[in-house]
Amino acid sequence: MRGRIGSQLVQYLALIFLTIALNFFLPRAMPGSPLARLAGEDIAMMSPEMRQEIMVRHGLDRPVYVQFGLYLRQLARGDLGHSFQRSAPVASIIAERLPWTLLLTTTALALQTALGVALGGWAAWRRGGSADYGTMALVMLCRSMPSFWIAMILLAVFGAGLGWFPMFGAFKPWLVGGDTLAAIVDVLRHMVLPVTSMVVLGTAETFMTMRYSMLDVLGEDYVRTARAKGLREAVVLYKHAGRNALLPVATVFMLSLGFAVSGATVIETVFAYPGMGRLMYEAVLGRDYPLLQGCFLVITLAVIAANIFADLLYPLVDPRVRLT
Amino acid sequence: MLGRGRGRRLVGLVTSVILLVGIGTAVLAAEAPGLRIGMHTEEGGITPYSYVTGYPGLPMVRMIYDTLFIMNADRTPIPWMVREYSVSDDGLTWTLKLHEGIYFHDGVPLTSADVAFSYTFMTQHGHGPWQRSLRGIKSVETPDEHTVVIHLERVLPLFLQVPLAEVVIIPAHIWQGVTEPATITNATGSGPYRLAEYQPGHFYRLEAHPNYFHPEKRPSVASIIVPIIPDATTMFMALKAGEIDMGTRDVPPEMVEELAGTEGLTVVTGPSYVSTLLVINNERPPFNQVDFRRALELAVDAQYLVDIIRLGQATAGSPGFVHPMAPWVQAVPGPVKQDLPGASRLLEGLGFVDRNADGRREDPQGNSFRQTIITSAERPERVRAAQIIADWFKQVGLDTVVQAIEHTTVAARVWPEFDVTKGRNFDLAVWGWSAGVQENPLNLWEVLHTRGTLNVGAFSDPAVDAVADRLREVTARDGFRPVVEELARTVAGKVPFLTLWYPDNAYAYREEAHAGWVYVRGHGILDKLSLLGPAVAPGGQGGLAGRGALPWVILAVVLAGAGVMVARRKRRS
Repeated sequence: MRGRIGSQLVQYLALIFLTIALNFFLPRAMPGSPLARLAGEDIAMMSPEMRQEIMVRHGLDRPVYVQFGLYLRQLARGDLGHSFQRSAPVASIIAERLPWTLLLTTTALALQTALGVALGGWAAWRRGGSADYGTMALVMLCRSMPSFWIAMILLAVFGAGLGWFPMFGAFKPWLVGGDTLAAIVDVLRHMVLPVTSMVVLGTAETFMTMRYSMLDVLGEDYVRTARAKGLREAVVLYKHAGRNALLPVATVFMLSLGFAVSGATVIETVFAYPGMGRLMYEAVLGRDYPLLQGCFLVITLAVIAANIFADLLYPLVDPRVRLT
Repeated sequence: MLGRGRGRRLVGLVTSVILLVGIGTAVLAAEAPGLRIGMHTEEGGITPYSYVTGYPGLPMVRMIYDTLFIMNADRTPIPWMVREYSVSDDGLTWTLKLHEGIYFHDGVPLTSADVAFSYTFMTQHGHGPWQRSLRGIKSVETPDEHTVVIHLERVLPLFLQVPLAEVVIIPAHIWQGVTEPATITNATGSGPYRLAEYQPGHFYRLEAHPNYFHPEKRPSVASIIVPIIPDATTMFMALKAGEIDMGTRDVPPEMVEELAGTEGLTVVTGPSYVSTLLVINNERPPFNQVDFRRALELAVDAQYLVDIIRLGQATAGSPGFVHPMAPWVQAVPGPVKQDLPGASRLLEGLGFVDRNADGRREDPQGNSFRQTIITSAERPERVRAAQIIADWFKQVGLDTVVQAIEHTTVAARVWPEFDVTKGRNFDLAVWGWSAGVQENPLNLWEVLHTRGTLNVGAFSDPAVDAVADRLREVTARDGFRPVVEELARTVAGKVPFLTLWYPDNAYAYREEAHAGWVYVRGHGILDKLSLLGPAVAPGGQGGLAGRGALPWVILAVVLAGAGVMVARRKRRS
């Protein structure tokens, strides 16, 4: 057991090092320079000496492998560096954005998983019927729509048209006179449209996984036995078959959970939501290497953490894993 | 003990009460008065060293920080912090008397020492336009608290504009000893508005400066909230729905009519000094031949592009590059008339002939020839222009393809590391220069001269260089006009690039929220001038406090709830 944990630890460390290296070298392989962000809008008028001074100040004049070595040393001290375009420590920028992204993505993930499980189970139960095909067609249609288009439709109808929900941001900066509860309700109202967009787009994966898993399970002997016992169909479906069909869904959920920290770039941009996706998009445009490296590292660690969590959780969900 | 059914009912009742109270409280939470300006970029801490873009970043900086002079609506410099001024006969010494009673936002009086400090500090620390603007200043003296004497190395004909109306004054008591200016987050200035709050990723909140010095012009809005809305469609929908009162984005031509027809919205349009070009790589054959470039010019109909792409909301580009409404000219050469047969004749004269009758001309050596237009994929207007232009080039037998790629990559190919000496990797590119390039006549030297820092196409012509050099010999503001006009005429025959159009800018706002918007020529309405006027009672209201912790609170509550549910189920089973 100790040996297995040790070898897994080595695997994860190797993976982290590899991704750190990729995260460092890939942004630098992109065409374009971060100089414009570092020097300001009048960079064209700067003398070569002034440009060089800026490059030296940010260590960009050194060979890339030396920069990589310095970056590793910096990481070892727990320092993610300083953003080129935001003039602030990368760690504090990520700390500002991460909770908003997590709030959005985990809510959407929970809802789309619940909806996908319910619809997938129901569709499998009605296999071959119009309900099955109709649900599948609807879910696939939603999945195939561009995310910005869904977001725009929701924005136009429920934001601009009916005025039911706020159209941008995570909260109303001009709201005064309420208390914490009012602030929470305000935050929740701002989540409705982006979360709905994400649920509409993201339900398909869970739906398909649940449907196929459920179809397998419904053919099992114990399901027939349950029916033969005279149990109600709903009990057979959700208590006997459903629980066992959930295992592949749990795997999909855990994988998605790891990527939850990366946010949803398009949705966050359309709804002006201050999350990680928008942050990374802006960092790519500005060739903000330290910020990109920081964001990618956090995502890597989150995915690895989710994998470890899934490894630990799976035996609890499926006792058969414990026995093997 | 409660039964399971009762327990559930109780939980449901409590949840409903909480939700109703929450929604009720949210409804009761009033909306603070103040102007709401949706901004399409995030500009860091809006200090002179942390803002990101020339627009809307720089106008925001100018609301917080004042300058000695200010550019008025027709872009002529007028005294601002300066009460009176005089210049020596040789034009090398300027004496400026400051108004009394100027205070920074933190209550510290602004003196001539702050002016001297700002100019010295910005000469030493380059970022944005500051360092370049201060070239030519020999020394700054402060004989008393309200007098600044500036000695120049040479006569600067635009001294009132650059640097006096450009370089902002920063407080010495905050910036003294700073070695890394970009890390400073304290945005204390002496401008009409102070930065009261900045929540990164969310919004800025500005409040009127209660002790603003100006005897006539005072902050005309008590509080300005600036939410960050990167997406254009979202911003315009929010404007239509009344969630914001003004958007910093230029309204695209296809939306002008729709927004103008929306009740409560006003759309104001005006010329912009921005220019959109088809840049030509003058280094690469056959683009290094003026007749080939002229053939390209004859194939393009700039007025058609204005009519189709800009829906008439632009001015067709002059072959002399200079904007016809720029303050330095009265007349510039008019747009070139499209002449496809003329373009074909020029190409044939150069040996570009379709030898194998496939509809595409081969080069003089008989090799197939293909040219590529690169353009920013993020700018649909430019992509459309590239496609239309490529069709015209195909009509005269030039095989042309369009590549729409990411903007930073286009910049890296046209202008590697923003240094024209680093070469270039393109044939043709749809490109643009910001308003500042047209506004300062000395920038024309940078665009058109062989050694110019903005000469991205590597254009070189001795006749143009000779006229451009004369720009640097002008000693009085009025002396630019004949030189600029001659430069425009000279350039027109050389085709360094094709000037496609100068867009008209359109901005939408809600008049009931604020009616004082001023269209500043060539720039737009987001300007300090728009937010000055009769005084208002100061004092905006802060929003609900502590929002940064809210997502954690909500996540914690949900997780705790889930934990309790799991534990209860476990106990039952």
